[in-house]
Amino acid sequence: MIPSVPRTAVLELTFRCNHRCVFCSVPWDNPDGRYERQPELSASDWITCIDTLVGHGVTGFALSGGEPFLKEGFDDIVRHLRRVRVRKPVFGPSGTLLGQEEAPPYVTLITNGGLVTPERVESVRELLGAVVVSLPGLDTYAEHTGGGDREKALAALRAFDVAGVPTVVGICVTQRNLPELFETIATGFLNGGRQLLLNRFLPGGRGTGRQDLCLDRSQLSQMLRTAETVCLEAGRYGSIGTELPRCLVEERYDRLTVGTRCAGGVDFFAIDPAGRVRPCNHSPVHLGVWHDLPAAISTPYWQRFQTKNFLPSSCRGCGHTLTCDAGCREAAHIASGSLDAPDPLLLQV
Amino acid sequence: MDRLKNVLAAMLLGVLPTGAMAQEAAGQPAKNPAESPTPEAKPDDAKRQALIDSLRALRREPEKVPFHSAMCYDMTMPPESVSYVCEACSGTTELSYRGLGELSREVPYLKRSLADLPVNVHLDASPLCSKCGAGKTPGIELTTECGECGKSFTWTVSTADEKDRLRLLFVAHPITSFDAGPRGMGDDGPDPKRVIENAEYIASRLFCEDCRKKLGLTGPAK
Repeated sequence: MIPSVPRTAVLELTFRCNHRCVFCSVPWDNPDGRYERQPELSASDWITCIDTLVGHGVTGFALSGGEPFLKEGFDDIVRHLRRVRVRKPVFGPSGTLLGQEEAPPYVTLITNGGLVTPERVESVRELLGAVVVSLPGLDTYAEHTGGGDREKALAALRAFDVAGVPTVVGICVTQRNLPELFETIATGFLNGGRQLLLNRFLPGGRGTGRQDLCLDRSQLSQMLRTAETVCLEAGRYGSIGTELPRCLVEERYDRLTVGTRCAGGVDFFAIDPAGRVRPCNHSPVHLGVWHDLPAAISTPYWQRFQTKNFLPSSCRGCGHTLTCDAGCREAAHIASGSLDAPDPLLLQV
Repeated sequence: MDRLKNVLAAMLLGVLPTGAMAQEAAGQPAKNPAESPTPEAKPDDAKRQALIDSLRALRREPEKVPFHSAMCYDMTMPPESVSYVCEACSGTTELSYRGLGELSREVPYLKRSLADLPVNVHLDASPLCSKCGAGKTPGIELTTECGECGKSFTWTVSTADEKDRLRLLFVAHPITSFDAGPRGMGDDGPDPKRVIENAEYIASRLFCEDCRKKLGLTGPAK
């Protein structure tokens, strides 16, 4: 059977980063060292990789890292993405497949903003469908990023906004920056952020073992209410980037999209700087290499994502199994050792 | 099963327990921020108020920024199409996401959840396949063994509305509430008419027509 290839590929272009974020979930920064850093793909390799992915039906790319601006040859990759055309099916009004058309890929840049210059904005402006700039706090920004300068992140938001690139304020919420979440979101919006992307802190990567940063249930509710409040006040929308267990979502939100299903391995997947593929950027294991993507997707591990066969036994028989994946499966894996373990939020008493 | 029948019958008679009605929209809208205390009120209220005033000045008609990323939720930017791989023939069918593609995403969720239903329901997704589904109504075909007499009957889920109603079948039994989900089911609150409609829907998917009549599980509203 030919596996179904997710339409979006997260290209983690480089291991290098100018920040040392305490919450960073990339597996190669896990202190246990089990996810080995191998030689990075060159820009030329990435270009070949992109073409191969397009051949598999990928239509969207998220450029990440590390910090993508630190990738040698980043401009070459950008130039190639501007030339690439993906194949998109064309459907009739009744959903009948009429044929295919060529279109530019949809590209999102995920950056900490610290290296953004007017020249760099100009170089990517026409390529990008959106840019996500990380802003993990205001007073706690340096603490969260290992010495980063929040003013650079805010300046990056303004620069992209002025250039006409749709901007998203990305915030990883920890126990430490929750008290200033209102101010952080508001400041992001006031500096050009058009939309909000919130991620609750999850164990993994450099943050493995940092239980002190995890939100508890009441703090999760506080996070959601605060974000809803700011979005309402500012006339903005927001979304929660990591699915939540349905049983912990107690309210309805008008401006926040709160998801309870996992899209890892189904709608997106990640390729690390050395070209190894994972069903999710949080995945602590790689399942193959980019030039044999179908084989990686066919592995039992990846298939558990596609068949949704990863519910914790404690969730069996719950009335929400049709709409809920019991939180983040990879966070559960990292925290408790298996994909079908309870989400860390559900482990809390 | 008797408890389920009794609860459905009670709902259809419009005598659902008050608590159940109230929970139909379990996801009540968050309180208006103007009415609720700021979750993490800071000592410097004046500073906070100045920030709110700035935000209000910023307020405009909300726009949605579609973007791809490593995200795991109801996506801000769902794919335009889905490649559905048929289990029977291994063929791939391109489906528009806004239609059968989104529906195809329900297949693994249904497969893992059908065993939780109080009656036997079997799934056939081959109508989603351009080859195996030729001549069939495109969608997900489900066959129920009636919870009373065991007679099989088939029904097809082919629209987004029908897809959204499927979750009504998976509420815990005995039914004491309808879960509205994170986005709620609308703004009309605990509408008794809709409660009855929902109960009738559940009955129609778990019991055959003859048994629904026999058991009094047919209501006035469609």
